[in-house]
Amino acid sequence: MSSVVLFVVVALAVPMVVAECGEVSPWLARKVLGWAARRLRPPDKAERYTEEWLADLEEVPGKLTKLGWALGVAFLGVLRLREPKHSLDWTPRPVASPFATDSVFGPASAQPARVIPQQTAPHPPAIPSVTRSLEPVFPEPDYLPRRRAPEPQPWEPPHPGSRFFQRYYDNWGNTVHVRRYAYDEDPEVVYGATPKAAPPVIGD
Amino acid sequence: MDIPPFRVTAATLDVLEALLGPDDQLYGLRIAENAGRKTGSVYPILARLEEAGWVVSAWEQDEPSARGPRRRFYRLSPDGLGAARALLLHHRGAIRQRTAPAVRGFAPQPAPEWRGWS
Repeated sequence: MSSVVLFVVVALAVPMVVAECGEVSPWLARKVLGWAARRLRPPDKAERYTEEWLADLEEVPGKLTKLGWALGVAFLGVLRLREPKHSLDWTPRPVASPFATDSVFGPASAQPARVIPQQTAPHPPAIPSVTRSLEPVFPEPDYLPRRRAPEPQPWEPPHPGSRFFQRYYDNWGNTVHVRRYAYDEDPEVVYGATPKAAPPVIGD
Repeated sequence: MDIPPFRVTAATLDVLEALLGPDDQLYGLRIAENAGRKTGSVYPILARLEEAGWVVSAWEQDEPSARGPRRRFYRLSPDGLGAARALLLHHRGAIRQRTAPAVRGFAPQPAPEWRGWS
């Protein structure tokens, strides 16, 4: 079966595809050249280069060669023949229409706004970060608040008088209750609090 | 020598040498063959030369019904002729004749001692 398929592909399909590509290539080359010429700027170049390139395309021998030649002209020629787009004109010009900041006293000037010096608090004296052992260490001035991280403290319950502790066992470990799921089963002794989603305890 | 109003590259010099040849019907593909360059790079060079006034072009004057699209013939303008020669002499020191397609790779040439015998 595979040899039959291979024979059909090699002996029939491949020549048909090659022949079809050869027949389509000149048409495709002309389309490529027309498309490429229409990409040129300014647009009046399109008609001229379309006719010129199509005339030169007829001089190119072969069929697939025509397509390759057209692709080369399209990619190389169009990129270099295409004039760049006109960029935006950023030349400064005087504004003809009244501006929002103009007033009855005249148009707004381009002078910079008056800078009001800011009142800044005197900087506190620098505290030496490194102190030598033999030098006297002055106490920190009281006007400089120091934010220190709180010292790590041993854990305390949120309410000292309550029975909440850090570990679950400390809270509910000594709580014993019995739950039974059915009357004919042995009761189950559970250590700990009754969970909220637990099934109802029967016969408690 | 005046500075040309375009960028002078090796491909530009090859195209100018091809335009200086004796062939009077030079179109884009023929110029590219004579210059030994890709056609896609020859058309922009011709456009720059034409924009600078060194090259003039005209449509083919044959019967329009004989062939489909017309070819566009290029030739050097009177101003461009002298400028092209001066530019080639300035950059390459000589003007090569480029009438046949440029041979790439090995080209058989006579031995040096045989030159001038024929």
